[in-house]
Amino acid sequence: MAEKETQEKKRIALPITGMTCVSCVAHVTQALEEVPGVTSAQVNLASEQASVEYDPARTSPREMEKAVRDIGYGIGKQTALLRVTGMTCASCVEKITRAVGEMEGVSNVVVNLASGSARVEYLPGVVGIREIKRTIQELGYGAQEALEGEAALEQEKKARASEIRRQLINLAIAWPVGIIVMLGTFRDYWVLPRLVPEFLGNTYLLGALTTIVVAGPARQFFINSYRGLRKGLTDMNLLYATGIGAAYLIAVLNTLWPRAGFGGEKATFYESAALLTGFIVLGRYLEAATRGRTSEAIRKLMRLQPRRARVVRGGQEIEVHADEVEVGDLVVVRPGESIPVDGVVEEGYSAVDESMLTGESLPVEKKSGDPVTGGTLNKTGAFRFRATRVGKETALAQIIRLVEEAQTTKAPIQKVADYVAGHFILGVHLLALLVFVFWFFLGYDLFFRPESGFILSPYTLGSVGVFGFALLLSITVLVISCPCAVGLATPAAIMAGSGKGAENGILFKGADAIEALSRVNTVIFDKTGTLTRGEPSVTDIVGGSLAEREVLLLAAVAERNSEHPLAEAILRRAREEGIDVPQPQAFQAIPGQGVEVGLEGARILLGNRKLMGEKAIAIDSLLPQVERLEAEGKTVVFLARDGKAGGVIAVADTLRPDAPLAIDQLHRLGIQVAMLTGDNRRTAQAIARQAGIDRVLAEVLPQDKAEEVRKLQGERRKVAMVGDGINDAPALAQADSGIAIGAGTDVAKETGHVILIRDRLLDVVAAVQVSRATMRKVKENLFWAFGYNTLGIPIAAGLLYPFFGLVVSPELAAFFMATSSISVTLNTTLLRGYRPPVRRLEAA
Amino acid sequence: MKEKAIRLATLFSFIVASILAGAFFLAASLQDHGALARYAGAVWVFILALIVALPTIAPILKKRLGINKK
Repeated sequence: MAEKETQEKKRIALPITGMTCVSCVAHVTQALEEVPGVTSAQVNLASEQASVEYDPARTSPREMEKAVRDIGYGIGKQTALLRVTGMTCASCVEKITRAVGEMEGVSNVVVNLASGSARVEYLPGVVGIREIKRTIQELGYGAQEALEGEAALEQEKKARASEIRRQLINLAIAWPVGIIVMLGTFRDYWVLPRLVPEFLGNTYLLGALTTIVVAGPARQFFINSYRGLRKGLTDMNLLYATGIGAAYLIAVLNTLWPRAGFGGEKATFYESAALLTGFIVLGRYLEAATRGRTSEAIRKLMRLQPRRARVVRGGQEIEVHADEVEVGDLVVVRPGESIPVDGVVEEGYSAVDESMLTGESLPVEKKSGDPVTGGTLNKTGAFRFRATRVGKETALAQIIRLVEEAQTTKAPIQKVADYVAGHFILGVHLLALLVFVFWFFLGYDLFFRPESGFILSPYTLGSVGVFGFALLLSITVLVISCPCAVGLATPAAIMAGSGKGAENGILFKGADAIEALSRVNTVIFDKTGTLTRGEPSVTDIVGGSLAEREVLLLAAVAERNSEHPLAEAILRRAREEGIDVPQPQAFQAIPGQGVEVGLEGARILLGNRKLMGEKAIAIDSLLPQVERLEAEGKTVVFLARDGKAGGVIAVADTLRPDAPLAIDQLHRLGIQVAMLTGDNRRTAQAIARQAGIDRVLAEVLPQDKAEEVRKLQGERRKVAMVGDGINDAPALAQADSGIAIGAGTDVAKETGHVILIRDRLLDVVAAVQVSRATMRKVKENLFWAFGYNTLGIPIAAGLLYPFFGLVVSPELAAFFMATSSISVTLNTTLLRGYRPPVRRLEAA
Repeated sequence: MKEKAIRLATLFSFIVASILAGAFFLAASLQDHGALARYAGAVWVFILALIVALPTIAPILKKRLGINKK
């Protein structure tokens, strides 16, 4: 770490980017020295670093960063992804976020409970990754840098196995001992006197057994609470520690001094302390077994990465590890093998199953010149390809990175939940204090009855005194209030949703992208290339004095030497119809009007109305048809042979085949659909009518697209913009949700919040459906999690006691607490089986 | 600086918790509760009040002492 303290001052090394010359050095130096609190700044161009001495009471690296950015330079920040073990609830997330976020040089930290990770953005000259890890470890959690690919899976497997083993050992101690303690405590009830030996009822023995549980499995709660409190932070461990500690302490006092006034020897809460620990440890074990693992989708994607590759080197075919393939290597793929890296086919022909990356169910044909993607499966033939992207650059690696990043971000809804959960601990302790004071001063005298008891327990409260009774309810409030389920509710669903998106060729760039898309009520499609094919094609051929096929033949002859987009459309149609187009004679282009060619002595004219007028060709008989076609937004060209109108050909940019269905499906989701285009209004209206679009934004210049999006947002609409991401990047960025369609496998370069790998409009519908299903799951989870606490806390506080004479025992509270997390996890797993309804339509 | 803030927060929290525990003890004495209930209740109030006070006071002091968040 490049930091040392000089009495009250500090010196740090800031990495500066964007400097090119000595004047840049002067600018940066001046900017830094002008920051109040900075006493000196020395900037080095060669090392691209600024050594800054400052007064930490007056300024911070963040203000220096702002000063440098304000004059157009950057700060070379680094991002580290850490795998964090031992987190159990939202308050752990809050605790780590606060402790790391307060570190000097850390500019952003996002902790994810569900994936057990922390993404930290930091200034490498101010703070190091080792210190960040140490800070997390000092709080009582494990922290190590996350690895990639197979190594990541191995790392995750080891961390999970270690956590599960630790909690299993705790379970193995807590439960058998806890059950013995319970039998001993309840020895006088039901049939137990006949079954349980008398010595087990001895309170000294029970005390000794409970001490094993408190000093063993429960030790983690006391140590972790102490570590947090030392930094002024609280978490769930503190709730457990106070609950278990108080129950144990009172039991010990009642054992040693039964007449001391804590409820006497009949009020030894040993079984509470032991079983409370048992249930909490059981909850932790179940959580470790069901979460903290990379999402199913990422694991599936990681497993796609082939381990071996066959490359041709020195004329020999040799097998190497897939990581050793280099750009430019010739790679050999046989039938049934996975393609190891990205490349372009050089020899051979095959069909490749790309469903794992694109969701496309049909195998895609590959021949010389076609791109192939690493991780996809070669089906039938053998081929050789030249590697173009390897290692971290492959499409598969990019997709994995994108999904991982999405899963380590936080949706806005989660930030609210985390805030609530983070402040929950304080609130719960305050509530426990109020509950204690109420039952101590008022409740006990008003409502206490010795024959009253615990829910689902034969144990009556008997001679419990005022302190013991108030303490019992206070402890139960602490135990039942665990916000574990609140912490899991959002990240678990976001992980499942982003994974589900990846399975369908939909990549969300963050949890906020999922939430934003789920709220969209207006979708704008860019017309050319998104809603339409993006290239003109022949839509109508109308014969006049000539038959339709002859019109097409002669038009193709006339356009044979032209490179105009209309010519390409006519020639493509002629090729499709198997017409052999002969070479014309005497080709002459007439600028702004058309062409004139000769063929076997005949004079052929192809062009617009003006050309026909100038050459005095009568087109009256064709005009009704022409007007109809023009009203449909099509471009019409006239064909004449030897001075007589032969027919017309209409050319237009046509709708993609799936456009009407996609728009209909969006309507069914309650979404208004608009189209944005630079075309004239009549052409745009024609396309809109065919597709069923509600609103047309025509004659919009490319630079004004973002402004149109802004206008719609001004109408309080949540707008998604769908484009190819090439000329509509500002509009995609302006929209609440920018959807880049047809990214193929080069996902890293794409702009937008959501990336659709395939070039299909129905995937827009699928993306909306996945995002809505995910957010629905988030809301369900939050409802259950908060609902559980809302219901549980008043009961634990003794709300039912005046009416039914029943209270919740601390161990039952711990059981409820454990089941709440499990129910949220199980509810989330239902999303794994989700299939966007539009996929069923596609299949049909 | 950060350690100083925590130390000060701990001191203030002790004071706040002690005042509350003392108030509890006085109120319990007025109601004629047994000695152990009074003492033990005051200890429990002290523990809970300390747990509430420490994380509440620590960020305020950190801010006052100029420990910037980033």
